[in-house]
Amino acid sequence: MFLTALAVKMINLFLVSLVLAAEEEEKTIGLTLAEKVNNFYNWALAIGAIAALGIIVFGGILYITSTGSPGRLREARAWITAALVGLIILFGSFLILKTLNPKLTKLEDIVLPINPEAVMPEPPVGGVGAGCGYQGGNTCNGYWNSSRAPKGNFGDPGCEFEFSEAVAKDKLYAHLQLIDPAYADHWFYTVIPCESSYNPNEYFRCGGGNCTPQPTGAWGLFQTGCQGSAHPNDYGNVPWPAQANNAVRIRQDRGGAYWGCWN
Amino acid sequence: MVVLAIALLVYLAIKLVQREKEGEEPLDDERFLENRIKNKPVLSPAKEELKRDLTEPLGGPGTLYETTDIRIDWLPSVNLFQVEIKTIDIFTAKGVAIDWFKTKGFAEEDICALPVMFYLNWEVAQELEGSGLIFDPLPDFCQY
Repeated sequence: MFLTALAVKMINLFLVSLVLAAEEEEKTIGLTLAEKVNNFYNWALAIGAIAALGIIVFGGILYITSTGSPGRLREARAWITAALVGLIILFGSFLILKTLNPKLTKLEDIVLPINPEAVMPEPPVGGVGAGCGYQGGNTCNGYWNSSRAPKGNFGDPGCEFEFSEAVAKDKLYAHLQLIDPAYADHWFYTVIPCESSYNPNEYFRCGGGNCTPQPTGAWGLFQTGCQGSAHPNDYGNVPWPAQANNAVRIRQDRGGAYWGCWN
Repeated sequence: MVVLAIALLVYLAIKLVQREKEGEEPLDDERFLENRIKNKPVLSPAKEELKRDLTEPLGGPGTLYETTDIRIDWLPSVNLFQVEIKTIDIFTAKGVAIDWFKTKGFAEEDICALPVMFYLNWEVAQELEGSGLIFDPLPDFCQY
């Protein structure tokens, strides 16, 4: 009875492995090294399951044909136990590692993403880090006037929005796809237009000088805070790629409920 | 021993599934614009060609049309036509943008399939705040 149940379980595991391997198989064109290793792992898992099933069957036959001989019974049990232990190690190692830290089980190619901040000019004096007061900065030929940028131009020191808002928004979406692909669409379609209308220099003036959760007002595309007021990454008064990076880190820590415009 | 190990594996698998559910699952709420746009109709091959003719001269993202009341941007990385409304007369502004697409050869169902998204300029949004006005970021005739 026990052996039958185990055999069914093994078959299930085997089938699941085959399905996983087959799914990977569909994407075999132009695979990277990491993807090849991942595919090999899935196939190895399936082959391991087949081998273990074969050993269990062999052990079962040995058990049935032992005719009560203690030596052969012992040998049959040893084969079955060894196969089960092998299977547990095979599947268990992955599960344990993934439960401890999912990153331990993800083999990814080493990709050095382009850091948008690296190609942007240094923020002007009085820009980033100047506290939560007026931050000055380049007006980009008057484009960032006091109406559009009441706290100065902290969000677009490279004047990308002045050059073309369409180009800047397109880059913003590409950046969000890079740093937070699962939520890039939600940020771009729902949160940003509601929070700031795609204005990286937006500043929300709070009634009586106090906002919740940012007593220093709400800054930038995502209307986050200033100087870590509500979270260590609560800096909206920085260039727009950094605004996005900070917002994503806040989401990862606190979830979307941090934003009034999340839903 | 083996039974205990299997029980442990089952427990770990359940925990893993729970953890993944809490984690990076994208939002699937139908109120969200991105999810509505996922259900947009498909553009016919002829209208795809028309769309290419319209956007290719830009050579990338750029502004297709601008007046004092609206600005129509093409964002290729999003595959989206985005219209900024710069006036509080938002319904007229939406109509102007839609008429512009119609003059380019797109019917209403094509406009839904492009797709086209509207958003309010910040000053306009501030001015209309508290007015009770419900603003749909999609054309009013797009039923998705």
